[in-house]
Amino acid sequence: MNPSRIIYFICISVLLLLAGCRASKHWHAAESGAPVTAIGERKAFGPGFDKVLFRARLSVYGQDLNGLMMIKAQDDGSHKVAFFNELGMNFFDLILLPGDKANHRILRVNNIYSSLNRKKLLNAFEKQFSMLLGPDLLQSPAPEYADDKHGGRFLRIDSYRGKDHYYFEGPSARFRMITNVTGLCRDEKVVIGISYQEDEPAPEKIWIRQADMKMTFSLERISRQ
Amino acid sequence: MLKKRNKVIIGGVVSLLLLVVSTGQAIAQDGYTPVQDTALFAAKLKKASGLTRSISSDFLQLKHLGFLEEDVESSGRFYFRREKQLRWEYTAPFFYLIIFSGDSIMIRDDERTLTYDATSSVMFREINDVMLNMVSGNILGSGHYEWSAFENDLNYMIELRPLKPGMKEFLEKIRLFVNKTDFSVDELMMIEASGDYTSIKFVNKHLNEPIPDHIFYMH
Repeated sequence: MNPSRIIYFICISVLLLLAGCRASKHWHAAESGAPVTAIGERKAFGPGFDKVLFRARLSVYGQDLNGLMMIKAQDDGSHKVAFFNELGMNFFDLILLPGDKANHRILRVNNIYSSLNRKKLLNAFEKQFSMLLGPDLLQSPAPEYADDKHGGRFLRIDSYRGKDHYYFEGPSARFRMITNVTGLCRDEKVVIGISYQEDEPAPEKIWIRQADMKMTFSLERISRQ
Repeated sequence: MLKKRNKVIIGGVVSLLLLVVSTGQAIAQDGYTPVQDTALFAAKLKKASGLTRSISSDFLQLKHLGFLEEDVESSGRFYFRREKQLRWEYTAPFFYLIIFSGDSIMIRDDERTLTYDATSSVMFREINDVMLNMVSGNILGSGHYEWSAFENDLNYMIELRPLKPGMKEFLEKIRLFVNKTDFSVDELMMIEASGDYTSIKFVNKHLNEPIPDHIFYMH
């Protein structure tokens, strides 16, 4: 075959691939130009957050782990997380330290059950908690967009891995959904849903789904601060 | 050179003595002293436990999280019936039910009956085995633990160190506080290698009272 034809077909294939990806993107937005205000007030773990006890369910690698999870803020800006089953046996103790990249918390393991001690899973925890405890902006403001598809608005942040989208609905509303999109096709790698009750600093419920690992993580608050 | 080596040896001996003294003080602080005749104690425990056909009790659980410097409390109801039936019913801070009946494990929360969980089952089975072996009087002869026994005026304290590698990952040791009057378990304490521990205290105990069959079935 003529080399120019091969190049032609390759170009056509790439264009088709890109077109397919564009069609599959999950949001349609237009920049609003509105200023970003009070990001801290919108955070899942809002100002004044100290500690919270969740009922937790983690499904990953074909295992269902159930128990309690405590998240506790530290004075130095880090957060400690402990997950243990009903009878008290620990699945893991983690600490999340402020990072030096946008929307990045550095995960350190204090103690972990051996079957969960996998790099890929720890990276997933690091990403999910970075999103949940964020957004942490190195340089503000983050651009704010109108969300044509779902309504409301969202912040779009270039994070250490992909782009993180923080969705909210009103001028003073808290983030109700966080997604991480990566790759050429802007796949939703991580989706986090959040609900709140009253003015509690910590969420009432959190759902996390990471499709590429067939991982789901749900948290339901059982203590008030 | 020789002086330096002697110093190291003396330092080591002093450290060892301090360790022995401090360990002894820790036990003495709780009023516990080693049981002198362990063979006699084991025989008495086996005989007394053999008389227990059923137990129903409330329990209070405290999980100490050293890493977070926090405690988490829960409570519920506990049932045992010979031969191999246990029911742990957590009522606070939320409903959670675990039933061991023979070799099967059933778990339910307020939304669903949970699928059998291999990871958790390692722990659940171990606790199940501890309780079953304890009430059947086989705990000291099971071969699954190294054990030592202490006593004060009210209780015996049996310290069990798991020998199975899979269990060592979770638990460094288990302490059973056994009531001297009826040889029932007052408290079960599971201590992890990290220093975290879980204490389960059994209160309002009723021994050898009939327990209906439905308690050990999941409806």
